[in-house]
Amino acid sequence: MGGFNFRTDSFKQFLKDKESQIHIRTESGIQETDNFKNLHRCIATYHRERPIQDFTAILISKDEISNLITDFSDKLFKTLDENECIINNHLLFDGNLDLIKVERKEIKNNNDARKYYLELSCEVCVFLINPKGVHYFVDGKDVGEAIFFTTDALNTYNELKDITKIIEIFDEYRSHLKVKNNYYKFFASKSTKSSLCKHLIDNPTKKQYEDFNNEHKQLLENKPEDRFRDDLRMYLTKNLKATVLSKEYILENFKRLDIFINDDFGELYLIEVKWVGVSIHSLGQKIGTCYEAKDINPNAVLQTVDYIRQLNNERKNIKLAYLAVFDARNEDLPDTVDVFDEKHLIEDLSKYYPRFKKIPDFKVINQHPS
Amino acid sequence: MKQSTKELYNSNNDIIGLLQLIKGIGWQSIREQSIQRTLYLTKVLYTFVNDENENLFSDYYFSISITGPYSELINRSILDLKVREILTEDIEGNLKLSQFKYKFEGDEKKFNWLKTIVYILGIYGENKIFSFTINDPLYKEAIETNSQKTLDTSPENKTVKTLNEFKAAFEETLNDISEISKDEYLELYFEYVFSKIILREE
Repeated sequence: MGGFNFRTDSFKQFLKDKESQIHIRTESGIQETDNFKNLHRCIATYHRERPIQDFTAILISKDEISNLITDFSDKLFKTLDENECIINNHLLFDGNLDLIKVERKEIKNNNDARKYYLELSCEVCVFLINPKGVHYFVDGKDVGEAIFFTTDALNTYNELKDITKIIEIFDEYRSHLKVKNNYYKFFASKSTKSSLCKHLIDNPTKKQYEDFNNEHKQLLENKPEDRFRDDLRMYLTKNLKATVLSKEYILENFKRLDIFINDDFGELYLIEVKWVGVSIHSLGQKIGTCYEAKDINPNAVLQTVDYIRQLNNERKNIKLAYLAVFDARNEDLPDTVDVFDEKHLIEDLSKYYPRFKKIPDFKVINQHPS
Repeated sequence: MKQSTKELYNSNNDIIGLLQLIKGIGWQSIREQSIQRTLYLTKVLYTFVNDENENLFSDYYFSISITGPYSELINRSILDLKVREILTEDIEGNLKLSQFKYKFEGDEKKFNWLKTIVYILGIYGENKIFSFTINDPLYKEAIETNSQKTLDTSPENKTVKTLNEFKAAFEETLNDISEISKDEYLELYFEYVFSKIILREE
């Protein structure tokens, strides 16, 4: 948003296209009054706090809204929670927020419903509570319709998993890693491996090339940690209903944290990313780095727990810290942190250890090398 | 009254007003951090709608942290209100007024502005306040430049400039803008930001 640019032709064209909708939305009327806004926000709160799976229309005339009682939220919620209001779906209220009339109506489809409520709103204001939100109609117009986003976009967002479901997202990410388009970028390409082969074997035969490529099927690109971290970060950004920082977070002691997440309320979660396997050297002429399970356990665990301590010392409310290990080893080996010996938790680290979670290794297998 | 006592009194009054308003839209309680963030937005957006140099929320000075802007005055005020049992905590540690009798007193203009902000945030719910705050241009710029200074909430701050550009785009494009009030521009602007949040374009 710091970089928003409202001077562009595309933004202005967008406004032009939405001109009539903007006029409907902003024209003076009952919807601009405090009483209307108070009532609408109250109904919106009710919607957020209840499991709504059906349609309910709250009907109230403009005169009654103008004479609405004050401090009505408790009364309104209590009434809406009563059986009469749950069983029926058309609820007519007066300004005291007493029920005047209830009815159950069946409307076949969304188009019919919209037409019906537009007509009905010529007589009374209609607040339509539905599974996706609260819509309102006034004076035969769909006044509350959003300008800048579609219902589909909102639905897609609402269906995203929040931070409490992050383990499910990690499991889905495991499936994502099995798709060639997603995993190929981690591994050295066939041409890179052929070039490497030439540097390591004098005048290799065709068979030697093939054998070399097969033996080094799992050879990772140089600096695979950047690719793994960016891929996981991108996946979480798209699939998690939370704010994933777009770059690494730097602690006061200048250590960098790989993936940093704020939930809806700003609480912090971090993911430290490591890998095991073999990567190619930056010059492409020799093998680069090799990490094994012993590089992860205990050092990476202790490093992550220490981050919790440091964030805590910086008065940051860190909820959980995860260690994610991408496993590109040749063999199918046990998890890199199969068993962690807590004796390694020296000084005061043990009190932060309960906030540490090891994600089962993310296996990356180059099924179809390219 | 000493200046610091007056500031604390005003801040207590603002927080009471805020809790009175959120109760009015059906929120039973609110997190301490949400109070900090809401009052930040209340201050930083003030001069966009109110054509005057003096910001009625000028007593608050905000520092930045990764979890949002933070004012020491608000922190002291919440502590004071808790000690005096005007604020109580619910089972989850969120704050609410202990009795209905506590109401905002004094400057109606201040209360009306708080109401404007609460009615906008009320569309989206408490769990979107953090997203709106970290997407605020002034805050975002400070975080991106690792600025350790107190945030510049002067009348011509970056957020207000951004809002004026937003308004200018409407003025330059639409044939008739006579019915769009500044409150409505603000509401539309929040909807625009919300669209960026849901489209993952923060």
